[in-house]
Amino acid sequence: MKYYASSAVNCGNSHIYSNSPCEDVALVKIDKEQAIAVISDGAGSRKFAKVTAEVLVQEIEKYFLNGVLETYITGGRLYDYLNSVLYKINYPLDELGATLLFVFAKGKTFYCVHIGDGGVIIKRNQKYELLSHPENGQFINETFFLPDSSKKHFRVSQGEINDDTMFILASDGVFDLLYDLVENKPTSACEKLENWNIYDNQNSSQLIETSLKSTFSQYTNDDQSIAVLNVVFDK
Amino acid sequence: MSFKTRDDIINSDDLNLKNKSARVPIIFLIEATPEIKPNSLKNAIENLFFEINSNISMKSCADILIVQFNSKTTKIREFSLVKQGETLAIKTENIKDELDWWNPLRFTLREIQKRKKEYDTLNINFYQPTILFLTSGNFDFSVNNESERICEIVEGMKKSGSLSIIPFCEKKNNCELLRHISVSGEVYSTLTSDFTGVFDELKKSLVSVSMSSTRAYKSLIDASQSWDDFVLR
Repeated sequence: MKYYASSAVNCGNSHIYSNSPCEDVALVKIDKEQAIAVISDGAGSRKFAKVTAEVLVQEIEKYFLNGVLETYITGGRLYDYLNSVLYKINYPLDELGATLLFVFAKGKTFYCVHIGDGGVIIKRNQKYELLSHPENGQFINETFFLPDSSKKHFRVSQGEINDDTMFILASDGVFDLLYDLVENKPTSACEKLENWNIYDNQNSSQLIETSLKSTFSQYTNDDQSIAVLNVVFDK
Repeated sequence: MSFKTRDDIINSDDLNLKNKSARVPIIFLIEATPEIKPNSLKNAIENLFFEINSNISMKSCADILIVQFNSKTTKIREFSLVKQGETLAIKTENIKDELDWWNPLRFTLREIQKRKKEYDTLNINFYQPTILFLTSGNFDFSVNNESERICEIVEGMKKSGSLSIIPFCEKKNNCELLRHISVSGEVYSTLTSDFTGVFDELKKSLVSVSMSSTRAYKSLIDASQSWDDFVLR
């Protein structure tokens, strides 16, 4: 079994115009017999959105490298641990906020954890499906964040990996460009992401970044991030 | 599986560009006083509406609601603009009790809820509203029993960037309270011909909301680039 991963982030026009930092953070990591792809999108309405996104991604990376992530997920403790970390950092709580989505693959099991908007696509048995959908609030541009949204919005799912499988994670603003939620259909961009990730992995992150800058940014003002993880079985 | 390495980029043909219709609600809640001159501001806002909607697609357009209220006559008038060149409704509502600052706000929130329900039925995306509350400073914004709950709502809306209270200061004592409640902390000039501060506040609100929104706002922001010229005309 082999893992391939790539990711990229591009600062949205709204932040470029206002000379403010990009609030999306993406990370992919392969370590021995496990791999992870993470995206966190800082809440635009919160002053320390970027800090929140960075802290969340760093924490997930730490749990992953320390080998405790699976235990935290299956034990139902991850939500509390992430919240407690945000409570402890030296920033006003009501100014923190970020969405979080990640896929963690270990052996023949994967876990998908998601709070907020953005989404996760899975390809298995040669078919694309929506693995985790964007969750919005009362209005279309409202969503749920850590630290203050309730646990019911912290969605955790688990599945088996029995054949070649791909996961595509995308932040708000990018996700609906990659996947047609009304027709429940992927776009040809998903195929390109898979080709790059497996067959041109060294350049894959750069190719994604170039695509975000030159194409995706024409259709969204928001920050954009994509992370791709492929699990390929030895034939 | 047989894949080839492709060194091109993802282009527009590879993406889902089907966009659901969207409404971007912008609400001007204006107190009618001689200093603010709501009619001249109303004209300016109507022109702004045409400016915005001529720059965005028909599928996604600004839905501007102008609510005027008069503390002397306790009347609320509503002008609703949804499509370019079309005034859908002009409605007048009498407030039986004494008019205080939460009454027009409550009226506005009720109107938003009605619209949201209507758009939900039509499967149209409805964005978080941007409310600009232009007030003279004649109201006492201190909390009493009745206004306590609405104050909580107001605080929540301000925090989410949905509400800006733009005070036009008249009474000195109220200035501090208004400054406290204003998003920017600014108290704007009462000069009737100068709406720059008001439109700056609108621009700020739209940019703040646009951080977490999608395509509809890009056009709004593009349109806003020419607002300064427009306001000075």
